[in-house]
Amino acid sequence: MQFKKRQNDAQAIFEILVQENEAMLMTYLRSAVRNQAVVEDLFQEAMLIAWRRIKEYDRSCPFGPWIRGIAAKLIMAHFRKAKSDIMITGCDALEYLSKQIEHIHERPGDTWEQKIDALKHCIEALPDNYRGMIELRYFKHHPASRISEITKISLEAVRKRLQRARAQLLDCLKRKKVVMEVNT
Amino acid sequence: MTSESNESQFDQIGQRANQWIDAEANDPEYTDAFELQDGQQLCFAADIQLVHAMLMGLAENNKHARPRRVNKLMHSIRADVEERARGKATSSQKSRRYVGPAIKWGTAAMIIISLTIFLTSLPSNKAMATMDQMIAAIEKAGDRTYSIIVRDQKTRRRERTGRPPIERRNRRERAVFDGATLYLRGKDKYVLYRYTPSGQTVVNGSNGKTNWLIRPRREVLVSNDTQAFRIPMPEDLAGLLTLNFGDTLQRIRERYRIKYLGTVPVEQDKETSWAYLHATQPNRRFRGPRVIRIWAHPDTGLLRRIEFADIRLQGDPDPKKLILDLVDQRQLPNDWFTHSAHHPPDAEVDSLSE
Repeated sequence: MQFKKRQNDAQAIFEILVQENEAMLMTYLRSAVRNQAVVEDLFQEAMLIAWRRIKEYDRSCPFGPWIRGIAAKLIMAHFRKAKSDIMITGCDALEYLSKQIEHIHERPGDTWEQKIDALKHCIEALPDNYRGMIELRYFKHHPASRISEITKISLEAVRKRLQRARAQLLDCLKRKKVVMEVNT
Repeated sequence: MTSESNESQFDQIGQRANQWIDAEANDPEYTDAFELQDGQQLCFAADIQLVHAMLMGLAENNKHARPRRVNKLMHSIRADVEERARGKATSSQKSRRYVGPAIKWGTAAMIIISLTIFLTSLPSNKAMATMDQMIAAIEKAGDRTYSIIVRDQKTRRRERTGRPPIERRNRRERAVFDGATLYLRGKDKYVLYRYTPSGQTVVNGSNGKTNWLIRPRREVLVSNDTQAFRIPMPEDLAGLLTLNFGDTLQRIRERYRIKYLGTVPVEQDKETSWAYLHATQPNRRFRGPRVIRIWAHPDTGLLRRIEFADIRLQGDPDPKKLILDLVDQRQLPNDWFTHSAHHPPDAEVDSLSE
């Protein structure tokens, strides 16, 4: 009875940890993996492994880097099976992404959404034709080919506009210190 | 290296990173990863991907996807805890005399079981993720047109051509599923065109609030009751298949053991590779076909084709296969889901709710 109560408490605490870190971990996985079904899979696997190994987790350290470490191993394992799902490979890239995400995680705000709130302002500041592309691609969930059909703009031009829009967003996020400037 | 050539090199990296993000599964750009040795180039490409990931997260900020993701995980954790507790209880009942060998054999068995669970859970997780993606895709889907085929499993003969119409005095012909066309918008708007063996048309529809039925040479029936004029499904599919595909997929997800079997083309579209799922009902606890096969777009989760095997139709003992196949995604006229778009303006309309 006592054991069951302890188990339930542990699950409830872990659920809070999951809720607090879900958006962060999804961002990390999406940064490295293209296929969304695989992203969802890796999220479930990483969190399940974390639950099974929770005794190994040093509670004096933040949970984020620990869970991202588990996820990085899974990403590398997946890369060996399906190379086209992952673009930049190697531990250096994953470590760099992990550092960027930790930097965002340390920003003021209770939730991940609050920490990346500046992104909304950066989108608003985009020129109309770039903002429209971002809205169609992300908020209407259209692939580039469909955007080309909707806007009657060539596929090449759509991709170019998306590329420039992302570059401007990156500049804006760097100016707002959401993303770190790194000089290697 | 000059700053100009440096800039152009970064432009190329940016282009490549963006190409990777925007490439679709059938694009030639959907290629393998590329190696970046230079630290700055690597950081630049990673930053672009980070922006893409942040945008995806921002766009997903809705009330369904995240709780569903967390609930799914907690469900797996609870199942994991129960599984381990069962293992512990079984081992504690063993006699002390056998503790030593039991530990050895138990450890070996646990390793084998864990490995099996690990190996079998990978495709299953992928299958579940694909199912979730498909269910989520229906919520925001545009207009879709599906063709319905009913085929004898042994002879592969179509239902409409298989049996001559039975002519009985004072008995109306039954519209059949084979050859029917289903138009869908979102999750609750539908129009279903079915035909009788002699070619008469029966149309069922709903605009999400009003259901309606158009039959040959009879008044058009309209009702605000969302349960009105329900389509008589084959007995084996009652309680499983509804025209709200989201509900149907959710039921399959809950009742069937689903395996992800990779990406494959479908009969009519050899150029695209579709995620292929194979669902079986292990214990027959629920009424429904033994096997269901599903094809979906690997990136968007769009339901391309679904096949229900071993279906028995009323008065026909031979097993049939019922197939729904996506044939068009063009936008339909705005009023397509209202009854007036499908009958002459002077047709008599009987509104049952009034």
